[in-house]
Amino acid sequence: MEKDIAPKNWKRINTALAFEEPDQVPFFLNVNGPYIAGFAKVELKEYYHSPEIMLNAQLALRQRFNGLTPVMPDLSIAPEPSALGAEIKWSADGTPWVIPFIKGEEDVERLEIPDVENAGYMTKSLHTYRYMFEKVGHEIPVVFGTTHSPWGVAALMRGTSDFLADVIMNPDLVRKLLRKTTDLSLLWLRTMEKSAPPGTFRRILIWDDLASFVSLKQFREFILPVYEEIYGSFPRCERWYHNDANATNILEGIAEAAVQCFHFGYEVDIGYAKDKIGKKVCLMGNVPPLTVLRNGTPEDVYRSVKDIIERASKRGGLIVAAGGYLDEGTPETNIEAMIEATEKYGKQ
Amino acid sequence: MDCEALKEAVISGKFREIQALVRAALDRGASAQDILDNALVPAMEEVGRRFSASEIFLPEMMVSAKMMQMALDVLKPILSSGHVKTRGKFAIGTIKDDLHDIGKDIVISMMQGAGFEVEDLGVDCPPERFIEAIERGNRIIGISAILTTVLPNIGKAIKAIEEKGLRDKVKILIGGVATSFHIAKETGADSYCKDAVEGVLKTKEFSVLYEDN
Repeated sequence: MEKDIAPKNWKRINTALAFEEPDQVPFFLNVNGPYIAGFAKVELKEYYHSPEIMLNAQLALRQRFNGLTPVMPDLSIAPEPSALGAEIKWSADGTPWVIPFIKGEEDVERLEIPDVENAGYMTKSLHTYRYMFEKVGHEIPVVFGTTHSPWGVAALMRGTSDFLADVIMNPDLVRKLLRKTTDLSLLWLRTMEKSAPPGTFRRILIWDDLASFVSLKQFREFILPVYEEIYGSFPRCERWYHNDANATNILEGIAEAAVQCFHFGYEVDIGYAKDKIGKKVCLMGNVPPLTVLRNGTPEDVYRSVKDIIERASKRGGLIVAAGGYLDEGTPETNIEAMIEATEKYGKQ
Repeated sequence: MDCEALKEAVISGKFREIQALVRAALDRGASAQDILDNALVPAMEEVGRRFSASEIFLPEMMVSAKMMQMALDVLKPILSSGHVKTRGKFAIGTIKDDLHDIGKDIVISMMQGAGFEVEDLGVDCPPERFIEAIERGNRIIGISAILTTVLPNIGKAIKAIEEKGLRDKVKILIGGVATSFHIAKETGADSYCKDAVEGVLKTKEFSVLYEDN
């Protein structure tokens, strides 16, 4: 792997985002807690709870892949719900989960937008950013600008099944809860913007797998206005979006939200996505993370990448990546195969 | 006529009317068995078909599941008197350390729609919860897993069921995005279901083995 692969790849990503054809199709390594902790052979719970362990694990991975992976505060789903008072349960293996606590509209009305310096794991995430910035910020960019979608946060606080039924049975509750969680997301992103060095807060990533569970009509009614408000509040930032559930039914809505880069799941047919929204939205995906990248062979990875490039690289707007986050235990040889296959088949 | 109106109410999501319609059907002489066989089960089958065909989405599916539960709440006193025949008993839970509920809830609504008596074991289920469900007479067990990190817990639950001497009394199905045919084989489950529809089909096949129960 070339030493300067990361800056070259970023240049290609920017070209793809501009819908020009780069000299080679770029790729992206989407990583988070389970994969990073597994790579660094540290307990996931320790990774989430110790900024030092988190930073060292991320630095080790970054060194292994020549600067292709980020340094970032990474507390999974914990920050936003805990800032609004949700209890976070940490399972024995270290995965966080939100205990639903919104039983009705009275509970929604009681929610208060907190002071970010006293907001549960949101505060911890902020402190982790400061720690990372102090330690490595002079030489490595520390990524800050990711927010869990207000829709997803609301669903976790209410309980996903009940929240989805509320869309029909109690839409007022959904709207009121979304107002609170959207206000929180805006506060959180403004805090990140203020924390970052001037001129470096350039990208917002909203992640929201649960948005795929509704119809396009429901997406337009409840979710699209939230995305528009968030992206619209930071007009100078790139608009990135992660949703690795099957988003086939809401593709048009994602384009309507003016998303610039969409990281999507393996269940979406990339040819269909390219036809539907590929002229407006740069597509990032969609190598199956479990069956191909984690459990398959390098040859399987090559085949998958070749197919993706053949179907979706024309006129730019494609970044090859896992269709989701890299699963814990994904062999490094398969990640290298994804990079090599992009080089082999992605030359324009 | 009452059953037809009831069926239509479930399909079109008229949740405010469902319990009154069930009571009206009973008042006019329909049996609980009629209501289940000719209204609720076919209605949920149609809802399941529309969901599989992406004609409706999870909010509609969840409302139908809640309506089914509301209808069953009215019918419960009659059902517990033992005059109603269901297709069999099925219990499902999300495995220990995994708190995802949505996949499990879809399976529950589709199983109820297919005429099974369903027990919801909840999320984050330790092995004992599956064992107790088998001891209560459930002969088909569903285990859901969304996180890859919890896959070893499926094997542990099945091993605990074996150690309790209950393995030959039960069929175990697994499903959820973290699972696969290979995981079923590795953990000793009887079958892997790629989605809720396949879960219903396999449960129907296995339930033939336990018709006397």
